Amino acid sequence: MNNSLRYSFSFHPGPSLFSGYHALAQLPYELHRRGIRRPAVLYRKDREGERLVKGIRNLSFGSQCTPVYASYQEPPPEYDGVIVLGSHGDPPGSFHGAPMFLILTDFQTCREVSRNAEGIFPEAVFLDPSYYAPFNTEHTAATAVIALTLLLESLQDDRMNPLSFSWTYSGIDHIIGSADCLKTLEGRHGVANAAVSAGITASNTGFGAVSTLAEALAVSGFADRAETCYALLPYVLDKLASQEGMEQLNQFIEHPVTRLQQLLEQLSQLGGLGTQKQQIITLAGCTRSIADSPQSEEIMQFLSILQGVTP
Amino acid sequence: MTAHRNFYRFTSPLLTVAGHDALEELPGLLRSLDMLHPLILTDPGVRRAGLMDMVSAILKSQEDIIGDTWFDQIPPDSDTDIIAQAAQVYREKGCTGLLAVGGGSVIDTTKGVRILVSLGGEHLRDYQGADTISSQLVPMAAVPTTSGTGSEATLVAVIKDARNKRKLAFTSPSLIPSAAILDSRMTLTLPPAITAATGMDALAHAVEAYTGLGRNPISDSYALKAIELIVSTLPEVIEHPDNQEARLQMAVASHLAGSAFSNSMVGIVHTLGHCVGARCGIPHGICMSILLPYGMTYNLHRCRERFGKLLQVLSGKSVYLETSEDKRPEGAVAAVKALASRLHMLTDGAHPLRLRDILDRSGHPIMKPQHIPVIASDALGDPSHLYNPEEVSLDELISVLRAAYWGYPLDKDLVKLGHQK
Repeated sequence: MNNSLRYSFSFHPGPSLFSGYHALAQLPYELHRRGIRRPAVLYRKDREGERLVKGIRNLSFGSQCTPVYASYQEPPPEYDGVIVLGSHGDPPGSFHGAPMFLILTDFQTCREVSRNAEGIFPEAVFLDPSYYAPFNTEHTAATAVIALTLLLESLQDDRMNPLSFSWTYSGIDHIIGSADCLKTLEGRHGVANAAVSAGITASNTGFGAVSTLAEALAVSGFADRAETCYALLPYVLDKLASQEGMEQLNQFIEHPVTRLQQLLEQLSQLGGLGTQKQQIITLAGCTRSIADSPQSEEIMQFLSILQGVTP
Repeated sequence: MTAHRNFYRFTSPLLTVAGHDALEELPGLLRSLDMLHPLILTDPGVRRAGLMDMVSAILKSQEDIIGDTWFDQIPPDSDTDIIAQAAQVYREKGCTGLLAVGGGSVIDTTKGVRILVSLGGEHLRDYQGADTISSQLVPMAAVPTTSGTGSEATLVAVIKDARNKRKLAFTSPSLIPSAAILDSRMTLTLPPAITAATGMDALAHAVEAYTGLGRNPISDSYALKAIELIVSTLPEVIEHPDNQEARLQMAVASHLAGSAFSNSMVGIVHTLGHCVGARCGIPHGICMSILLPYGMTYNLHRCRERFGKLLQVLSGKSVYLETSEDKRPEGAVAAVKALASRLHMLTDGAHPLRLRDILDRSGHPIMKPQHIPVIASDALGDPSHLYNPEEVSLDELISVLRAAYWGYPLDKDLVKLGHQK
């Protein structure tokens, strides 16, 4: 029998996901269903923010619901729900426990839809292509590489389970399906779906060594997040090839290792990635900055392997 | 797959805890849901099987949790009167949440109680329909004791109206329980025939979720994983009922399939199954097992690629790769038939393969040929066929039922819309 569940697991898929054109039309009902009457709509007060918020203003919220519009930094004093318009890289804070609704316009870290510092998921996430920020192919490809890293690392984690696997597979399938059309809005939307899957999966299984390292290097300004993922993901794939996660993926994707290697190369070309590869590997010395990370032991081991195999 | 541009929604906001001793997590879960005084709902069968002793023992040792408020008289075919009684107990005892321990009937009954105690009123029928429940409900946790309905993961409740004996359907994302505990010990005592029937119910959920019109990328993924787990595990559970690992896998598979169809809806197999069950009292899982290959055949031409993909998880990758692309859809149907036949053999015939083989105590078929047109007519009024990939008509439903009744292949020439194109 395959797929042994050797361990107990818990899984929380987090938010309801509304994806596709006109997804936002569902927002008023979702507020109504939760009895929210005075939601704060938080957005950036720049030209792009004003453009996007116009779409929210045009929604019909009914007579019992009156949204209050404010900047993300200065929420109004009273609200019973929060609608965050835009992407901030990290999951938004808890806003005093008020139910939160995310309208995502961009993806920088693929952690936008994950548990926030208080361990809370948003109630609902909306992916409406009409609301995406202007994008280019390089940016979309970079997002795809970051999402792929989170997804593949979830297959390595002891906490992998059939529910997390389902999200992982869906995310990978979205990236595969989008790779040939990354220049288009359709491709961007497919990658956005993958990024949400990645955030939800990683919130349940944990963030792996490469994504943790990529986060640390990006935050400290040493290296671009997608570049780190691209430089180190082949080693994850090598290790994964002999692990149960890949065995499970093998049931759903033909020749998954080869397919994923090809996919990574395709994305790197589209994203212009690879320029920092040597620099990233040399950056092994910066591991002190992440010594407190829960993954630090694995990262140190990982980097020592890298240094050993790198000419 | 191409990027999914069409709108879809996937809702599954519940916390799932699974394991061989997952029930030990119950006290912590109740605390996190502010359910320090739950009304515990179950049925006499679950009690007799000793499963409630386990729940009692765990809750007894918790000083801050009142774990002895029970409602344990839920019959297999529960109704609105039972729900009103349970709601009365909830209010009188001042409970703060609901804990369902049982199969689909217990969990659906608990969902009904949840509606009444949260929204007030005496008549559950006032809330029937889709998305009529527009507020947060009291917390609810579910511990399923069968692996089939997946009700612990769904937004649906089907409850009989005691007044006119009609089935009332309720659908709302608010009905999805707050948490589910999947513990392998809870299904260990299930007899082989019930294990087989409920397992095939889960398979029907997954297959119809994957091929129906309401499918989406996440429900697809849940459905495929569920099917893979079911085909690799269900015969093993029948052969070795004490295999806890296999029991847990079936519980997880049923949960995945439930979540999948909760987001994508079902189709003709359930349309007919609901009506066969309502007219003749045949258990739902058995209806699903018998009707599934016929429903698949009926729909095959509408999404051959999807049915072909199912062969990969139904029969394994090597069979899939060895089978030519044009033969894969029929191969998937054959794989489902083969699984049902194997269950028939493993249960010494207790798992039937034709509708006419389901017998009453005197050995006569429960369903008679003259039931067929009546059931087909009933089925036209069942909304689940709206999500079926192929349209249905009375004649076609009769054709499918006749084939499933007598056990002969579906004659595609007699099916106007569902013929091979």
